[in-house]
Amino acid sequence: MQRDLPPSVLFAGRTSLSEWAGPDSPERSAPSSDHLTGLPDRRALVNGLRQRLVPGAQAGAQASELALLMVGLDDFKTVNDLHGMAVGDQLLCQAADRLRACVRVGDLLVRLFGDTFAVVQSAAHQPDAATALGRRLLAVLAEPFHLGGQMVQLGASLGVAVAPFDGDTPDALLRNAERATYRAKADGRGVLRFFEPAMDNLSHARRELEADLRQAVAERTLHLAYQPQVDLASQRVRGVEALLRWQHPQRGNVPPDAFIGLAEACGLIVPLGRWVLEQACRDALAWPENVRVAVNVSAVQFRRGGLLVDVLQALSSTGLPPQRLEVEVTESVMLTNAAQALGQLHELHRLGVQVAMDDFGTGFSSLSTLRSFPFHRIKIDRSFVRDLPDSQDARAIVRAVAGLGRSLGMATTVEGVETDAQLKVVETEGCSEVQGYLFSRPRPAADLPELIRTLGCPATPAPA
Amino acid sequence: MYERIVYTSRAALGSDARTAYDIIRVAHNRNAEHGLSGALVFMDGVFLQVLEGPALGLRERFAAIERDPRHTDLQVREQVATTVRQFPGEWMALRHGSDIDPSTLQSFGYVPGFPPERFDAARLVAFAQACCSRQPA
Repeated sequence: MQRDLPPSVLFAGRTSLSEWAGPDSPERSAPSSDHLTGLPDRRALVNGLRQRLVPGAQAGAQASELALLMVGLDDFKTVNDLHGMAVGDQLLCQAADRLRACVRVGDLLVRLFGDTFAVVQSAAHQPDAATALGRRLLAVLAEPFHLGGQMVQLGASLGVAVAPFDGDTPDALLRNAERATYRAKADGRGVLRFFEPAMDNLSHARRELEADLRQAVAERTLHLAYQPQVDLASQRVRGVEALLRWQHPQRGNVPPDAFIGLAEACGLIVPLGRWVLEQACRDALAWPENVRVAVNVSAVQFRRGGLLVDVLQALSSTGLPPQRLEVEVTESVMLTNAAQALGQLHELHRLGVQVAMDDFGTGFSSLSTLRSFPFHRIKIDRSFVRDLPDSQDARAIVRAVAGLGRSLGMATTVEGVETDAQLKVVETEGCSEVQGYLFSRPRPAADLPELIRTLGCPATPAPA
Repeated sequence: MYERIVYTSRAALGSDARTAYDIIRVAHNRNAEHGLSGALVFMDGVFLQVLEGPALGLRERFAAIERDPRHTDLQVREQVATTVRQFPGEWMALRHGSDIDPSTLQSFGYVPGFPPERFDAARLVAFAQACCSRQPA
């Protein structure tokens, strides 16, 4: 079954894209790099490349070969989020010192932006010399960092472009080294990858998809579908989850997994998420007053207090009572953005907005997360339900989470219920709500009032 | 259980520095992606490659190598099951024989083309290890 897309990634046609963090935006280019690490910056790199590149050089002559190694720290953002910017800065300085110790006189080491450094290596045989240096750089960055009594271990990913094979201008080399670094990160991190022209095609496909996604908003080919959540005690619909759909005119139905990550990476998720919140609140107005709407939100939306502002805006422009909105967060939100996220969640809680812990039982699930915030609801991941009623392990987990919810005063919703046998188990184990194809597949907004009536709902007349 | 393949081949006629570089970078990326380790040494127009890793991935990768038109005269010098990787860690490739320590070449009695009568499989593996242990600065 295709995974439904959390509607945290849509973007609105009427929303400005000015906050999109493109390659040249201040958010990524860290203007203070010189002051922090004492290393030269991107401009120095471009100048250095220009001086060292030999225009029209013949490949194969050692003097004309030059490697650009780009190395990015893996998960550096987590350090900033968990330990604060001061510790992050300290780590960058230590990383810079380690890299300095690796390069030869004549090599140019710079801090390119944020957590990314680059080395220009000239007058050496390539790709042999770049392989050797690259391995040294990865090795020193994999060593633990000691930061004010704490030990942090990160690792790094490294991409290499070699002139004249991969380009003979600073721009081309930078672009290609960056693509190789992306590939290294995607290949599991801690590894070295050389640029290949095929990566160019890949990033071309990605750029196309991104352009399509932007256009989709203008043409309104993205839309929301809704799946009811049925309360087991009353056998009535008490909630509805909003799910994002993209019907592409040429590609057809684009699977959520194909564009969520992209929208997060390119920043589209922020305006997209804003549109989803507002549209879901607006659609919910047509449902009975005791039916809430659940909206998935991404960690990216929490940045700079953005989610709180977006929720307030959606509620005030639609007039939906805060009690009827539920935001679903995954644990990654708590892990990558803990301080910022918790502050905003507490504020939402105070306003009456409900907060659900989504996908519980997968990934980084930990009991401490449940203690960090008074969630209204725990959503048990569909992967446990799939193995019911046969798997005793899955059943034990469902039972344990339901008990945990009761003890902590949190409701438990089970996702992915498709059969009567599964329903019987989750009912017996004491879960409070269920959601899945057994009741309804996700349906267009227009079908919901009728669907809610059919599935059973307290006799509150739906507004026109 | 691992498998190891050792082969030599000759760069196709008309190969230039760009072709050699391309073969080596693709070897680095693909072999590493397949979880393979080993070494590729390019000397005097001849490739010597040692590939080792889980059999399925190794054979898949080797099938692609065999189809590559940029080299000819491919000779499999060894294909054996083994329990130990001779090249633990990531993939290593060298394009420049001139970076290899002359004393290494001398001690192995290097002859261009690695003729089988001078280089049996064990000697080829040992030679590749010696080349890669002394990496260029």
